Amino acid sequence: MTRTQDGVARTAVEVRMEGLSRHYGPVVALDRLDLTLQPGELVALLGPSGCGKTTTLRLVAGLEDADTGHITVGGKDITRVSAAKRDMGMVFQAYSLFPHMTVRQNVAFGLRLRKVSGAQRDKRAIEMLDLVGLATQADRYPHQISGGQQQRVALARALAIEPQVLLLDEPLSALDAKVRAQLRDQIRRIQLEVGITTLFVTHDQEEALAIADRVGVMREGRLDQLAPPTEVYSRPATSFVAEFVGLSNRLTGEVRGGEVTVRGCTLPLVERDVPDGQVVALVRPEAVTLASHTAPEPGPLVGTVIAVTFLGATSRVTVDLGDTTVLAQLSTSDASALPAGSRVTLTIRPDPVLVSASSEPAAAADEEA
Amino acid sequence: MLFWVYVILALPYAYRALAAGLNAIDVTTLSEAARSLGASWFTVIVRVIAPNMRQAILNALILTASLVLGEFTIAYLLLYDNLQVELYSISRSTPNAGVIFSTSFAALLFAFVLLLILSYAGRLRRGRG
Repeated sequence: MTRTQDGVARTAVEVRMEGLSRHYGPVVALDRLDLTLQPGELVALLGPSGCGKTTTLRLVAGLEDADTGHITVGGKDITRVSAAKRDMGMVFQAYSLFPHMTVRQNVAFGLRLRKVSGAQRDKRAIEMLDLVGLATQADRYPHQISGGQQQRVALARALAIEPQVLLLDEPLSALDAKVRAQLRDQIRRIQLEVGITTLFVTHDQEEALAIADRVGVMREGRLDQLAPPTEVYSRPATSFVAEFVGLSNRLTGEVRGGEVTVRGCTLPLVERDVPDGQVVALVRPEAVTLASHTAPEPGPLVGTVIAVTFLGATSRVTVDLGDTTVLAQLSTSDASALPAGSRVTLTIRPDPVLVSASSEPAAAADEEA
Repeated sequence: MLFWVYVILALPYAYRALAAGLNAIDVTTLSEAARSLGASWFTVIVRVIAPNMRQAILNALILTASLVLGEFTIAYLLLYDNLQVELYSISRSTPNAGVIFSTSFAALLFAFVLLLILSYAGRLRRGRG
């Protein structure tokens, strides 16, 4: 339910994209995309730059026109409706506040265009600023507040017009790490409170996994996978998703009878119907554990620590196995016992793994060499 | 006729001043933000872009005004009477040095006051935000 000025509750709407394409000259930015956002849902589009995620958002906003396909919001086709009449709340990367207006005037801008009376406008603006915790800054100018506060004002401004859909275009990418995490959680809290259907575009996988109901991983104008964050992480649909979301070790192995054997460890497969043969298995760093090995007996899982990267609560340890290197993610206390140069034995936890089938052996071989 | 000549003369100065103003703001993001909030293109230009280019617009005005007030050659050649041509003909037709001096001084003062008002007005409005 969306809160409205007159207190009447409004239901969140469904957003449906069908066969959406967009070309820039010969470059295909978006290739027949189908994507449906359930009412009130937050979908994060994740992918490397140029994958089409921002194009998708801009098409929904009406800032660009689709070459083919349709966008329907709440059952109404808005493909040919101009941006100004779409009723979308949009938050940009940065610097989108009007510099010549105060925070309050910025938030009230959309209401002024909708001919809402002065008193109503002010009340609503303060209400929205309250929602983002900035009511005290109402009379400041954008350049007088911090980057994080500016983005919160931008969010308040987008929500003030009671949009049908909220569009967030990498709203956190210009902020520093700590503010980014705070604002990320605040955005999610507000989105749930307002109950608005939201499309969130980001290249930061941590961000997407942290706040989305579903994450859509995009590559070259197509959706590789659209699933809840836990599923995207633990059961990636393609090897691209596996590698883009989180880190993966690429280890050669052999598939036999629905299981893969990697350096002597037998691991279950995510997809059961992989044909037998040589493959590259994608193993998560946190599935690898290390034990220090004082009397080294050469084996496929014995190696030397070559680097330890401190990440806070956890550390990432790079182990040289002779013919390849493996990343392991350990708690910092465990990792501190393994300085560079230690001999270690690897254990791979038997989590289901994804394998790159024989269609990509060339790339795999390069990486191994 | 003279008007169009001055338009052409002033164009490069005005263009430079306005271009500098446009470069100083993120026109794309600001207009997209305004569009998404429901603003028509006219509203975007009048309420969002122009107010943020106040200084540039003022600069363009001052440059153009200075240029036009000081222009003599073209007006004289095309047989128009503008401020400078008038001053010249007064100095040619009046033997009285006092009159020549005071008209020139008045013209200078007029230009100075005009530019002062222009820039003061700009500063005032900028201060208000």
